[in-house]
Amino acid sequence: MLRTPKAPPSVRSGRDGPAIQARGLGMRYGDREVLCGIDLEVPHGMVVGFLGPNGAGKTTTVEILEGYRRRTAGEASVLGMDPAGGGPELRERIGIVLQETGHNPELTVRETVRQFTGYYRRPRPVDEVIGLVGLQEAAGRRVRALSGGQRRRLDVGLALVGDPELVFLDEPTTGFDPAARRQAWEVIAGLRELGKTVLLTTHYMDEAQALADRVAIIADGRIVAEGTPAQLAAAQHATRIRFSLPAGAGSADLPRVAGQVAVRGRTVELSTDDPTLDLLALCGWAAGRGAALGGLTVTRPSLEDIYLTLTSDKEVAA
Amino acid sequence: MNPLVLAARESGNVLRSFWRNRSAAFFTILLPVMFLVLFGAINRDGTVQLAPGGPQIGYTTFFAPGMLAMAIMAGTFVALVIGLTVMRDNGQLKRLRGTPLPPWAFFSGQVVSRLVLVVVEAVLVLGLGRLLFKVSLPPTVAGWATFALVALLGAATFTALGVAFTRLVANADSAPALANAAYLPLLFLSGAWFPISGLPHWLASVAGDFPLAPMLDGLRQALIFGHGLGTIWPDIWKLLAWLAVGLLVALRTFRWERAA
Repeated sequence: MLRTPKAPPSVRSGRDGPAIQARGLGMRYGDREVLCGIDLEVPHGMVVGFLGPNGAGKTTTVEILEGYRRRTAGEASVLGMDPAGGGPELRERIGIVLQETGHNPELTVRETVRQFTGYYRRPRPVDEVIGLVGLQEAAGRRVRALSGGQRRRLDVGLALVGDPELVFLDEPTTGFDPAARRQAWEVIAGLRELGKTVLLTTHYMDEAQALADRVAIIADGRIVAEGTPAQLAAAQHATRIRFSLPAGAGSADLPRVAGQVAVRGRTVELSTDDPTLDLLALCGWAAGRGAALGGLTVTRPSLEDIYLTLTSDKEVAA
Repeated sequence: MNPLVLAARESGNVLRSFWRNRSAAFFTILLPVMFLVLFGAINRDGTVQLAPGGPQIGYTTFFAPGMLAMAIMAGTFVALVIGLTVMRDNGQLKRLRGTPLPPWAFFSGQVVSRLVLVVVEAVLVLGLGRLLFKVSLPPTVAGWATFALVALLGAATFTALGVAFTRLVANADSAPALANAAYLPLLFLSGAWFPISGLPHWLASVAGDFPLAPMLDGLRQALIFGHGLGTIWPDIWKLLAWLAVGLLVALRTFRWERAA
């Protein structure tokens, strides 16, 4: 289903520097500052996930980079061009999938794609685009008869018509059922195989985890964390151990451990950087009392937890 | 991409989806024809005077250009106000803005496709009017040329005004009401349906300043009397002025995205 790109992106982009580079990006509407110095770098050929709660400034940032909005501060370079003045030259080389977009309901999928091939200098063949997003079966159907998931794939297809080097995807799966979500993910994963650079906006951590090479988290107009999903997880390394106090034991009876202990009712929660030693101590202690650690769980924080911690801190600060 | 090819393709797309949306096609194309047949049949032998003291002319000969003017305004102004605000609200315009398609190509597509529809409508109205009611056709070549010029200039004017008007429309839901609030009163006050010699003078003169009245007058003068540009130049100037206003406002204020 996926074809190799006609030319490696390096040939066309003259890749000095990353596909997207933003420094100190600021946006102010009157007195309201919605972006306060965003630094963002998207290297060529990477899928970067851009995460944050609603109203954090995700869409504003992306729309500045797409050329829809003019920043009020900072520097931005997209494929070596200033997006504020890039014009058709830039739009020839990027593909944009907006959050929600209507279609002309009376045209068929194939006609819609063909219409968009007329807008670009070097379009992909119509049937190739339709194949890329898996709409072969629906190619002859009117857009009004498509399911929500199919329309979203058509959105992605239309963004690929110009064979762009860089694709912006703004919340591509919001409101999808799990099956449609999986299908959309496959299409997005296919973009990487085509050698595209992708900036993916989402508020689903699992989506970023499944698709992105790097993740940047934005909250309240600032980037609060940035790195590979593994780096983000490692940055907050406390492992959580949870169990119920054995019968007859009080919190004062617990053995000495390296981590921090919190007891709520009969539930003990231990947050530790050295789970092996602490578990050894706890298990030895319980075995010594002839009891078991009821409901024992050991969890690493998920990216979801990290995301929630980072973004809720910011909300409190604001 | 060749600009002409691009504009032609855009208008092809507009026309294709126009014909597929049956209710819109009906409203634009068939409604005026239906009215022509209906009112023509009711009032087959009636006569009217364009102005007090003027010659008596057949009612259907008076009415046919009225229906053509109605079709022109519905097919350009009303259709654009509704169509463009829908496209603006659901993000289609924003998506187009994100492609290299130049805005002028998009708008040329809108204009050219509407002009094609005006030609179709004119042929239908005049053809049926002639066939069923012996509506008079321009008696001179100059009359034909003037008739065509006024119809196309009027269509261009109402296209520009339709695009400009979208700025006043907050969202697609209110577009039909607002478009009709401009369209229906103008139709009556400008004399598309009945002679307006009975209107209070001030009201007629206010209505006469809007672009529908000069278009109607130009069409009728050319169709009925074969008058050329020499006679109807005030109409042409009024239309040109409105065209300029429409273009200026459209270019300056058009929004590609719905208001946040």
